[in-house]
Parts: sequence; structure tokens; C-alpha cells
Amino acid sequence: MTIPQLLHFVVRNITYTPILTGYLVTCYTNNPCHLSLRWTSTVPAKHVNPRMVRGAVVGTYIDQCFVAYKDIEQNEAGDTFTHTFTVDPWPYCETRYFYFWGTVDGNLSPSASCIFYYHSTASLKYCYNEPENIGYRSSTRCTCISFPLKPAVSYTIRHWKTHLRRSALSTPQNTFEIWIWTADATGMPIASIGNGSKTGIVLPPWPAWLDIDFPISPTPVQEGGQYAISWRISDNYKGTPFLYLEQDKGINDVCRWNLPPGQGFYFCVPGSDAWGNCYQPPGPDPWQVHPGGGRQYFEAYGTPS
Amino acid sequence: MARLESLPESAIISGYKGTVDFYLWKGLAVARAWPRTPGKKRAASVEAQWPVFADAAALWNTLAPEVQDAYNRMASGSTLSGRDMQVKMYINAQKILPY
Repeated sequence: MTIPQLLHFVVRNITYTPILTGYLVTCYTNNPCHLSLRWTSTVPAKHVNPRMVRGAVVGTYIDQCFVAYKDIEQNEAGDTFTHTFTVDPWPYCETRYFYFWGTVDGNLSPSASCIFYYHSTASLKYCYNEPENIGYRSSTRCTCISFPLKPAVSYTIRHWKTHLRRSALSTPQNTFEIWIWTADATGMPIASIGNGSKTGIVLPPWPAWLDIDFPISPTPVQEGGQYAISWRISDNYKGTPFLYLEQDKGINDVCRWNLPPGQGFYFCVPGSDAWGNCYQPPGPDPWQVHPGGGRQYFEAYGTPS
Repeated sequence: MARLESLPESAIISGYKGTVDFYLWKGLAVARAWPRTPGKKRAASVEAQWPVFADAAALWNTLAPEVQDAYNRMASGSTLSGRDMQVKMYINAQKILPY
């Protein structure tokens, strides 16, 4: 039989430990209990109502709306003081609201924790540290470059971090586009499934780098699938804009993308200075393979001015 | 408790002060014997809550500042304090959050 006081609990502290694609949430209670984490991405609405006592208003009370929620049971068996919850996936830059409820000795506890919220920020490390790992190109003119990639885990792409710079002899670019594609077994782009772009970009001359964080239209990708990422710059001048892409990376130095071994780059040179030929190709196969495996220099040449 | 058709005039209500208590209950006019403190004679179910309340009140100072902030945030905009909210949710949260 449970002593009445022990049916109740309070969460005394809470910690968040990032894992590959989410968080390990740990909370600590005053009494042993078995908890579930109830979470939602919907901001809980709060209703403040007048509190009536014998016809008179004496203060106010709170009603919380907590909707579209899901429950995650703690990892530990039985009643415990320390409770861990594997909240996975928890996409980058998503705020979640949650509270804890549970049982004591198999009986539903009347207690619940307060509502917590946490904003996921756990994917801002990078997989590639050397600029030449991804490639560079020279003498641009809207040339599209595509690179084959395989996701190490299933998740939804929401942004792509990129570093760019240009040679001192070139002029700053102003528009940069990234596209995510499904690809064939060789990594050649087949169909675009997501993209992002930024305009008004002014690149610094070498050796400085410009960090750009591109929002990407939410694009789910599957573990082990064959995808490609392509980019292009609206540069109407000869020059050498160096660029490399950094993918966002999970915690513990685990990359979300793998470079398929032995696959070359693809590039597409439009027939004019205009945008769009690579993405709405006039021919059946606008992409041309660049021989050689990944992680080596790459050059693509556009139509000279 | 007796149900009335309407509340009497305030002079009558005042005249019965200490004997009869007039008030509104769920929109109904009612009257009852003037409430008196039961002193230490409480129902067993009420007495069973005393140690729970004592625990709830004592626990506030053991909470991490981040947890206290979360209670304060929940209580903001009402006449409750964060500590009031913590005591309420420790004793019975079912009226505040979905179960």
C-alpha cells in the first residue's frame, strides 16, 4: 500500500543532452515514480479565468491548453528518482513544450510537472573542414555543380550551412542557390525535392570566408538513399569564386551525410547566362559527369564572356 | 443549504450576519448556516492532505532555478505565484493539464 504523500512528485531539475538526431532529456524527482514525457510543438495556450468564491471574484486561476501531444515513456523500468527520455527525432531549430506525468507503484499520480520548453540547437557542427574537400570552380557563369551524398540517418533537411569566398580578382556574387535532388546510383541528379536561395550576397575576397546559413524548404531524406546537392552562383564575371559546403552534423562528430566512394561530380553548363537551364533542362541529360572520386578539386567552366 | 428565489436586500443580509450566510452558488441564490471554523476536527480525507501540502510547500526551495522559472512562467498573468502553481500541481494537476 502506498503512503499518500508518496503518490505525489515534483520535478526538481531537468537536463538536455544532445544525441545524433534529438535529445536525451533527464529529470529528477523527489519521490520514486514512473514518468512519461508529454510533448507538443504547439505553443500551449493559457486561459486566465476569474476564481469565484460564494459569488465573489477572488483572484484568478489558470487553464492550460495542451494539444496535439505525444507521450514518451521513461527509459528506466519501474519507479525511479532519475528519469531519462529519448526524444528522437527532434529536428534542428524546433521548439517543443512538454511536461511530465506518471504513476507511483502502478497508481496514477495526481501530480504533474510544470510545462517546460526547449529549443533544439544541436546540429551546427560541420562534416568538412577543408575547403578543397568539396571543391571549387573557376570562371563561373551560372554553372551548376552537383555533388552526390547519402544520408547517414533519416531526417528532414531544414538548412544548409555554407562558407563562400572569392578570389581578389573576381567580383562579388549576388545570388546563391542550393538544390536537393534524388539521384541515380551514380549520383546524377534526377528530380529536385528541396531548395533554398539567398540574394544580395557580397562575398569577401580571399582569404576571408563568409558564413551563410541557407533555409531549405523542409525536405525529408531517408537513411542510405541516393541524393545529390547542387549549387550555383549568379556570377556574370570571370574569376575564381571558391566555395565549399558544410553539411550540418549531429552530435558526437557523426556526419549526417556520407560521400559515396568513387563517384564523381556532376556539372551542368547552361547555354547562356540565364538562370534555370540546369533545372529546367532543354535536353534529356544536361548533367555531365566530372571524372574522379569525391573529395578532390573540381573545376567547371561556364560560357566565357 | 437552502435555495432562494432571489437574494434578500442587503439590510436583511446584514441583519442575519453571524447567523445566516447568503450567497450565490453557481448562479443560484442560496443561504446556509453561518460558517464556523471546525478547528482541529477535520475529516480524515482532509487531514490526509496536510502532510502532502506540507511537502508541497517545502519543496519549492529545493527546485532548480530553471524549474522555478517554468512555474513562474505558467503562473504569470494570474493572481497566483509560481510557488502557488507548484503547490497546486503537486497536490492535483488534473484540473490544469490533460491527463
